Amino acid sequence: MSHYDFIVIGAGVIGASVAHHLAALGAKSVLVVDRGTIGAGTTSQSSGLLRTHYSVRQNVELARSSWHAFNNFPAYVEDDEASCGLVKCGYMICAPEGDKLAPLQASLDAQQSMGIEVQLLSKAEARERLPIAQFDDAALIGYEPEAGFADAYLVATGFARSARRRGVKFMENTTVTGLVRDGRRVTGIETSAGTFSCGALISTQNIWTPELAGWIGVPLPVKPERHTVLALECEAAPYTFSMPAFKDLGSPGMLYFRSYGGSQMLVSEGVVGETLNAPETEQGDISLDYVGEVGAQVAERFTAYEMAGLASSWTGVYDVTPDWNPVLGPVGNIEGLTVGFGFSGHGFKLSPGIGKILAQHALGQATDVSLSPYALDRFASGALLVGKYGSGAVS
Amino acid sequence: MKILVPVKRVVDANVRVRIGSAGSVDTAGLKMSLNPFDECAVEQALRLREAGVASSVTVLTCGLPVCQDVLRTALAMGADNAVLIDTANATPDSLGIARLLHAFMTADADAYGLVLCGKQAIDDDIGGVAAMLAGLLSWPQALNASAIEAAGLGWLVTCGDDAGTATWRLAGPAVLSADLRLAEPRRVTLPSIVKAKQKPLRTLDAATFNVALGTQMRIVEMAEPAVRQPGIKVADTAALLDAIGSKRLFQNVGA
Repeated sequence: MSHYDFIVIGAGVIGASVAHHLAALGAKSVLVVDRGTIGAGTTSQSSGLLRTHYSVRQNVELARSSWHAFNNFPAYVEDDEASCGLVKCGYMICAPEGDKLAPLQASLDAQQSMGIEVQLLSKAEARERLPIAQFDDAALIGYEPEAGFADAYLVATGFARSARRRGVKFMENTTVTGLVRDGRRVTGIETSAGTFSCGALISTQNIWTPELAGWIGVPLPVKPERHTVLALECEAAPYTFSMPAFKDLGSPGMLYFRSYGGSQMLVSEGVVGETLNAPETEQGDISLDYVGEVGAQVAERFTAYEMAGLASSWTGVYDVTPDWNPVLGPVGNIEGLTVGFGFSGHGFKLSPGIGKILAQHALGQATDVSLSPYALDRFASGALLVGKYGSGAVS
Repeated sequence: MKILVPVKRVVDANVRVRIGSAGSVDTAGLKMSLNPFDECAVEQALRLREAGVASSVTVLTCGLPVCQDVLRTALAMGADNAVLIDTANATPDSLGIARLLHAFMTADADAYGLVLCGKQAIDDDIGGVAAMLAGLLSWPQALNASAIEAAGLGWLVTCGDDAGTATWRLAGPAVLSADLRLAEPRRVTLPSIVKAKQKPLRTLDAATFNVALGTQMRIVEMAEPAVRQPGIKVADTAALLDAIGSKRLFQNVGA
């Protein structure tokens, strides 16, 4: 039986980031196992938005350190050829009069108090940056220049390549079937490729986390939720790479938008999606009625898109917790286990920071950002991390 | 002249299907689409109408009411009207579908001058309906069409086959089947999705056609493709040539 000091389950962008950070922080023997291939699960379905705008303060801190990694990705993974596919187009968010206005103001104030550059734009200034949209109803428009979007698959493979270069072993197409325990301590994993022992186990199993819950006999509150993404094409109003990603708190679906390929518009709803009975990343059905409904919302803000064509559409799956924020750290009194799950649609933008603090925790080091607000027991104690915008991936 | 385009609802081409516990492909909740070959047939039919060759395009599918969604897609692309033949509990094979289409065309008030099918459905890949329908109608047929041109009272159709392409001249009403190269399908636009809801969609009960729908096909076994084995590494060019030679990798070339 082979032994590793650290074993990571899951080679999505979070698991790959954990592996990179473990090795970069000095871990000598690390194994990563994945049921499929690196970044091919929910990671590959990410829309890739990067922002530090959050209403939960700890998320702002993680997002800020993560943005630094994305913005300096080759230096961060010490590989001149690495790319995260960053498009630094900025992030604009707007709210009309109503219940979203106060949370937006508070979140922008909090960002500014933490030293993050946030500009308040007039309607005219907003239109200058995003000329294909109208802002007649906007009561408050925030803009952060240090934001945009990147490619989650490239980041996962970039972290994995860095980890491999530092000696980490990846086993793809290997399914974990159970844990090896010694009393309260996790001492290894059983897989379709044999049993491996470890000093510490890190689970980054995303929507497959309920399997871990079964192995350890502790309920872990996470559900797979399917979300639909549309790519719209409107020749009269192309959404270019120089236009910011945009969050429309005034739309019923709290839509987010960004450029797709430099001319098309990627758009998706930022509210609750379709809960699945079982973890599954396969493409879900998208009805024309749904396309029509979202399209009508789009056309309210982007009037030329009233005539837009549907270029493509796809679905992605979130691992959602009751408060739409992740669980990070240990589980109960189980020793040798660190978990990171429940990213609820905003894991990619935090993936460098989360990979680092999970690695630090597994190594027994002090973490850059405190794990305690993200502890599992918050669901029992009631100290939830619910964002000011309510349920949804803004958090 | 009116064009009839028979279409099929299939699991989307980007979905990786798996065999469920029941021993069949379970498509519940998965992304379903208009069969890509049928999409090309719809596109070609619309172009013929826009060129003034045809006066209307009717899309038709045989299946359960849930199949209406692909009819709506075709209507949003621009088809004029749609027909669902509800097959209820029956699971007709290609011949059953061809018989239903034949019976529908015989009974329908509209006379169709052209039937434009996709060359096959991407789920079962049989590609039988077009040829069988042509046989039942005693109409000429041209399959795997990559180009269609109206010629007098008939059609000039370029078809792909194993040897290359052949161009056929067909007289009068005909059954054609579309290859993917025939016509790149247009995108559905947001206004057309709204408009499609207003277009006529008839539902007919398959039982009223008095056609035998029992399948003559029997699935013996369904299995996932074998897992691909990892490759081997060789030391140098000589070893590579040896490996290729000893495994007879190119023995079928030229056959």
